[in-house]
Amino acid sequence: MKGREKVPRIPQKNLWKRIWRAKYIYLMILPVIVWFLLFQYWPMTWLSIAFFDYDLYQGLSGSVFVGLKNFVKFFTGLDFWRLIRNVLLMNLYALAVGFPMPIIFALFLNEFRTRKVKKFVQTVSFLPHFISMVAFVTIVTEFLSPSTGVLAQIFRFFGKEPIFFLGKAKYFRSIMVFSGVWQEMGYSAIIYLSALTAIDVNLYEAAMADGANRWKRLIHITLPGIMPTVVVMFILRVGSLINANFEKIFLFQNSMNLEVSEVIQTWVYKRGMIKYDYSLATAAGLFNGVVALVLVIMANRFSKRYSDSAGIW
Amino acid sequence: MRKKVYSKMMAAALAAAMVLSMAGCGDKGGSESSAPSGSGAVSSETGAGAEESKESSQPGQDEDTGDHEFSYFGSIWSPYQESTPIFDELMERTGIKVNFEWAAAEGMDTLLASKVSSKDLPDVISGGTAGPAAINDLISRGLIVPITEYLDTDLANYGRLLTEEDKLFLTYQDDGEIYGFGLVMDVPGSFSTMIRTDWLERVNMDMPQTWDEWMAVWKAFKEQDANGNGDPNDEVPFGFNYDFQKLVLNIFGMNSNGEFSVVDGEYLYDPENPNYEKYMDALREMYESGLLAQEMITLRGADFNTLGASNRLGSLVGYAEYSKNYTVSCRELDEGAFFQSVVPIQGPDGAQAIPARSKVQGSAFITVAAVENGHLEDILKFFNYVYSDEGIELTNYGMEGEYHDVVDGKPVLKAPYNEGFKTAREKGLIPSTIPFCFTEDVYMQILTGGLNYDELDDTGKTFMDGLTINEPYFYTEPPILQTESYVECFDLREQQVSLRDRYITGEISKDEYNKGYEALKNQGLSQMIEDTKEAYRKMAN
Repeated sequence: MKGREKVPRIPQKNLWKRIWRAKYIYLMILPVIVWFLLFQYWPMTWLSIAFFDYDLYQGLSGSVFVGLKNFVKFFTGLDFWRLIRNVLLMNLYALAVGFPMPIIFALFLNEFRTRKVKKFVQTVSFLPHFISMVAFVTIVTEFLSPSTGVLAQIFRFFGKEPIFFLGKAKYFRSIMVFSGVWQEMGYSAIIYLSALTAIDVNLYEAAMADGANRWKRLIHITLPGIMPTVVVMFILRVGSLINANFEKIFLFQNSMNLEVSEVIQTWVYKRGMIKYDYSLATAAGLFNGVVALVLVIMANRFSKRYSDSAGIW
Repeated sequence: MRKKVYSKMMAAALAAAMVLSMAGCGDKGGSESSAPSGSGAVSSETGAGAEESKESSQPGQDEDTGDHEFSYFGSIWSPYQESTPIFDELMERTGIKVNFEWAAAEGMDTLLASKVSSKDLPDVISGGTAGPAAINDLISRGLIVPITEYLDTDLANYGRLLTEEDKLFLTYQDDGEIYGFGLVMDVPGSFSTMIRTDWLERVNMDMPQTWDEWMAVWKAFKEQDANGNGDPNDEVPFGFNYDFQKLVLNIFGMNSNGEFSVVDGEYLYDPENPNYEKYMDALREMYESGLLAQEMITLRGADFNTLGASNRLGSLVGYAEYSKNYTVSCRELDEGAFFQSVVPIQGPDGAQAIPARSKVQGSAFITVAAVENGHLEDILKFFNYVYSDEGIELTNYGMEGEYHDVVDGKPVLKAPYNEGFKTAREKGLIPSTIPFCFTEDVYMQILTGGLNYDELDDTGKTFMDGLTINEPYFYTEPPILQTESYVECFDLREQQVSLRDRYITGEISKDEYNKGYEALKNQGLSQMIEDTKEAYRKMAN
């Protein structure tokens, strides 16, 4: 039986001494710890309202405990499978298209020989990330408008009737995914670019000396070199398979695409903030969080089992 | 050594910044400062009240306990101002300080939710000209005080303005109580049908009378480059604001409020109305033929106004003032542009109706916090004054000498207050952000700028026509009865609308619509339909 390597125990007295010695380092991480406790862990205590018929004005003490009633209501509701289907399909689509894009883009940038052009392309690709979501959605809506949009003009130029893309449910996911690629591809590529810079240049020189062309260097050195980063990013991405970009979806949502655009997050918002049914909304949100956690654990295990990567933990 | 000092300083600065930002997140104590920053909420204490507040907030002084005051959380939109001399005058005359807190209309619901959840309930909540979206839930949770018993006593000045029919309209809760009070509109109806008469001339057609004639005109608009700009494909023959479906439903014999209509004394959810299918089929055909805007489901508010002003819209149903506004805007592109207000479109079965302007709106609500804070009496006294003769004169005509002169014993607005609603509202007159009574006389004075009909230009005349010619066709909208199941089914109703729109735009077949609608009924819509019918029966009796 394989035993874990024994880590020598630090005596309590020494531990405090060591902490005191590194007090400035600990002081620097203190804000982050406080932030996490206050804004990430403290709000979690309010998940308990999922088990109550929460009365906003009376608070938890004045609310009736209902056990799993809210969860049963959510799972047996007409919306449940629709919400799950929508969020999964949208995210799988985004994973299939949106995940490789920044990697390809980073590799593409890495191959640029002219530094100035590389910087220019990189800067331009970053810009959409910094546009506020409302402005971003407005730009896309205008672009796609069948009466005044650029795309409509192009359609007309080629003698075609413009399409009301935002009014057709079948285009909704594509609009979400490809507008997301435009918005995030440049920014997401940063992490891969930094991983690329960490690859030992001696490997490339050795490969070139052995006669490896660009393609072979890419396949045998570059890609394996960034693979740990890719795996970590993939795990994180899988963990958010059931999450959706609420703000963007909500802004693009209309009666025509409701069937495919309603996801758990928009449903929770409507239940909570419009209907004031905080308990049911929290139950749905809690379910969402638990599924996301399970997905992350599964992705981490798979990555450890089927790749050389060590996963996240 | 130096590096060490820097790192120490950096660590201390980071920690200090974090602590400060945490402190900034805390509750500032006052109800008026609880709204998140940057969320569109603005807080103001106006006039005398503001002065008092400023004085009382001096360090070392006690907080003004305010024997006569209350807090008012309301929606605000352009061109209304947070603070006006009219508000100051109302507070001075009543001796009651109102701590106004305003929220931009679009952020109102979110802010209200955060206020309720943080137990920072204001004494009065107002959604502007209609109740906030969440008001029914607040009522069902017992957070709103019914005002029924005060209509004959403490709010008697408001009660005297209401007919029995108005009271019925305001009684939309299961318990038969009236909760909301608000704008009383003693003015003519506001909706009308309009058509571009210059387009009619261009396509050589007469003013349509019957449904078939309307269809023929719309088709001609579509096919004959009616706006004459050389592009035969950019005309939108008929349009309506997506939020005003009731203006189209009535063409098909449903005198609806947008969701319900009363048929043979029975309160009917519109999709259950026998005429609903005809309405959907007709709109589907029109959409398919290009007679409606392709993006009709997103045409609301500013987007609809953009279309109206773009010289692409041939006819519409909407606010009568559009006839004036769109004519003026379109004339920048086409000198001969003219939207003529006409009587309602006659539907395929001869129905011809248009909703009258709702005389009363339950937009402001007194919360239980007002009772707990001991402010109920002040609220009733303040608004009872607003609805008194003096209060009506003040909110409509402002202060004598400054806003109006008295001519032959009648108040007559002075310029610039009579030159347009925007100016009048900016200066504090007709303050729809609080409950008050809007009189026909002041409406007409502002509308005509003191001129009579013959002295108006053609844009003023078409606006006036829109207000007057529809009178024989007016119907009174039934109230939306807020039964528990109605509130609970908000998402099912939303899905019904989605099915309807997808059917109209040809995305789904009739079978798919029916199947989807039946599923929604099984999920709870049927219960809502029965509950609302029952609630109406109880209310009508």
